[in-house]
Amino acid sequence: MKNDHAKIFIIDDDEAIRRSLSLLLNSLGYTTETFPSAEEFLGSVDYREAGCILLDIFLEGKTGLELQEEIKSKFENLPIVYITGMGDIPMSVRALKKGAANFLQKPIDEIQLFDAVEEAVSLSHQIVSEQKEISRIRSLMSTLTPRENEVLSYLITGMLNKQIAAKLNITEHTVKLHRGRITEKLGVKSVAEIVRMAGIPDIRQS
Amino acid sequence: MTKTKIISFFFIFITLSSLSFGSTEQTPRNRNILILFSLVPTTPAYRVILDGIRSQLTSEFGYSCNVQIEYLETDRYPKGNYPKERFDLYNKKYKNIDLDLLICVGIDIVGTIKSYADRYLLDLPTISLDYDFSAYGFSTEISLNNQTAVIPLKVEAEKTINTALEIFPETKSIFIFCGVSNGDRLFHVVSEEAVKKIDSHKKVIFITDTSMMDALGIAHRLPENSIVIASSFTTDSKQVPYSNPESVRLISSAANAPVFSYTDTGFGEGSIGGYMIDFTKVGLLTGEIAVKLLNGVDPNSIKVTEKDYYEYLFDWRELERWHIAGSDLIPEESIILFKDFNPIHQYKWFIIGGLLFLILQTMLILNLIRLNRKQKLLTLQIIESENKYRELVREDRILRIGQLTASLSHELNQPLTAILSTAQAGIRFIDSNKANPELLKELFQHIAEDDKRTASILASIRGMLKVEKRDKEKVILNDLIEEVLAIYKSEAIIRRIRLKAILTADPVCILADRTQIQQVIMNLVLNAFQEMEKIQKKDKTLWITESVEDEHVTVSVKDQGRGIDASIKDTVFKPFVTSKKEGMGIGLALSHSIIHDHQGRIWAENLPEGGAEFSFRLKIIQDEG
Repeated sequence: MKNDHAKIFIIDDDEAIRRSLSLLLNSLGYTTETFPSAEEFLGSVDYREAGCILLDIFLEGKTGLELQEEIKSKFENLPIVYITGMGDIPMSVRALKKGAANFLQKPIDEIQLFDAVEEAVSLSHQIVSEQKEISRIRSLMSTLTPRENEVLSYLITGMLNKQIAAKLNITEHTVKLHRGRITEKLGVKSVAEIVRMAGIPDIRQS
Repeated sequence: MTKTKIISFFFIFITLSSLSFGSTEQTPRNRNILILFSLVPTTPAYRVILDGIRSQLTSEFGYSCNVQIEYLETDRYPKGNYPKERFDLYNKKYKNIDLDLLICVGIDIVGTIKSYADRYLLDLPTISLDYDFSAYGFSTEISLNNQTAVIPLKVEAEKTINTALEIFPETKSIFIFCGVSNGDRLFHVVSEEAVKKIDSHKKVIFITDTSMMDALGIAHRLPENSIVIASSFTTDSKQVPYSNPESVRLISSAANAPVFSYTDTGFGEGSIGGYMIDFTKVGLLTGEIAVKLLNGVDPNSIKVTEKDYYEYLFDWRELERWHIAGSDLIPEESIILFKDFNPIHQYKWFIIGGLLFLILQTMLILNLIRLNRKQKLLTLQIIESENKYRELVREDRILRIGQLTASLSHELNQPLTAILSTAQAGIRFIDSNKANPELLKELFQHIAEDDKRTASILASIRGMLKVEKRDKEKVILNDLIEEVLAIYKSEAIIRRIRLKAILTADPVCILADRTQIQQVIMNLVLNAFQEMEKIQKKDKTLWITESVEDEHVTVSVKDQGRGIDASIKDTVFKPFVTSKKEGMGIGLALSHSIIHDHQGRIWAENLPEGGAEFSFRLKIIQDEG
């Protein structure tokens, strides 16, 4: 089961809610971890795998909404599903606008819960795999020499070998050698593939 | 035995006979009285004299008095053998009547009796009401015998004339009208004597020896500032008889000047009045003396003075006619008769007073009616505003219930969500064959626990929502506060307000209607919420503190709002005073009346660090449990 790899973090100040949601998700095969406040969660968790956060929109101290930014920046991999009481529709809308994955209204319907969690978790899987890919590419990129990096930056703009050689004031043959080493190091077969990898955000900052 | 019988009979006889003698002596004897008048029965004075005598005799002797009355009528038959013939009749008539008293009335009556009466009449105890003209040089006999009580009638001409001149000081001429009969001549002489003593500047004219017609003609054309003295005019020069009242009436109706007279016989017939014999008094006095004489009092011991029966008498109508009614010149002791019954005049002040009273009373009544109407209107207004107030209290309550319901649904949602989720988890576990008895037991325990929590929330809310007023009971204030806080927990979170409670370690008991006190706490908390809603601030905190001082507990709700506006600071506990958009502004007023009803105190103050603090103070009761 794919659920085995996902962990659900439940943040609610009500012990009964934490406990019951935890049990319900357990019954579906999810691993759960509960926290009475967002501060505790932020202070003790460092989790980079797939999963999601069930966050009560009203928390004593900082509200869920206030915590959203903080959680999002720290745990990009964990989409937030809000739990709201009745009549908190304006709040929920604001939460969604700010980028919440979903929201659930108490008393929580199990189907909706599972759908929301499943959706969030699959989103999480996607994010996690993307992040893994990015870090893989990033580590490959880090093996390139400065000259190879220079050649790469011209390559992805679609320049021909001759043009690059002119730009770098080197021979066309030298450009070909660099290009061969780049494809070898990045483990790709074509320049098109290199262009796709370089297109991933933040990839070329390092 | 026979001896004693005889003796006893003898005693009975003696006793009886003595009794019968006694009773004979005490039987009242009829008294016979003869009253002899000299003039005709119609003479006005006689009627009143007779009435006076009769009333006195009747009140003393009842009806055991026979009063015989004879009128000599010497005025009507002055000539010939008339008086003698009359007395011949009387002498015969009363010979066999055992007379006890003789009362004789009139001018020269004593002389006439002496001339014609038989011995037995002459020897009777007598009361004489004859005129005494001795002051004017006439030696008239007024005492019949040595058993005569004398009431000396006098003609006080001088006093009458003087009074007339005092009342009319401008008088220049005095006209004295006299008839020609013996009596008239006596009055003439009396008048002549009287005028000798007055101011010589006044002209005195005697109208005498004239026919009545001539006399009236003269009276009709008197010069200005004249007065008339109608002395006595019983016979005119043509020997036509006139009774005194008639002549006075004729003269005064003709006269163009005020008319005075000497006796009250003409009084009431046109004469103004004068110093006159009051014949009513004379009658009563005569009757009084008659009673005394009949009871054996010595006639000579009786002394009568002029003052007993003379009066200044005036006729109101005549005084009015001559415009001297109420004048200071009329002697103070005067009796004024025939006063017009002019109610407006006579009861002027009574009427004015009465009218004034009536007006005042009417005003008072109108005012009372107005006040009553006003009162009714006010009462209606009070009832109306009371109804309105009650209506508003109800509306406010509904509003509060609405807010409470929102809080309540939040609170109930928690355990309900937990129950639902736990149950669904159980089903899933069973479906996936992961259910073991231990796990299921745990799940059911959770469900039961959460259900109990639901029940307790409902229980506390039920108390808060109760509408009817309940009896005060011993309640733990701490519990009440905690229940309210539980209800408002979610509300506080929604409003991003931290609820901080500092309650006493030991529970504090008070005697209270728990619903009402909770309502006060709820009002204060909600009020604080609403106050803090208005400000933009992170970390808003609402403090509820409970503190004990001697026998009292104080609960304070402190907010971090802008404080109570100065404009409503003094009236914040009055109804409809509010700075809020929501609510009626009666929450605090209601709280005030509730705390007041609990003999407590509620107050509000602004805090130096900002915000307001609302507190109430109640008496603690000892917890015996």
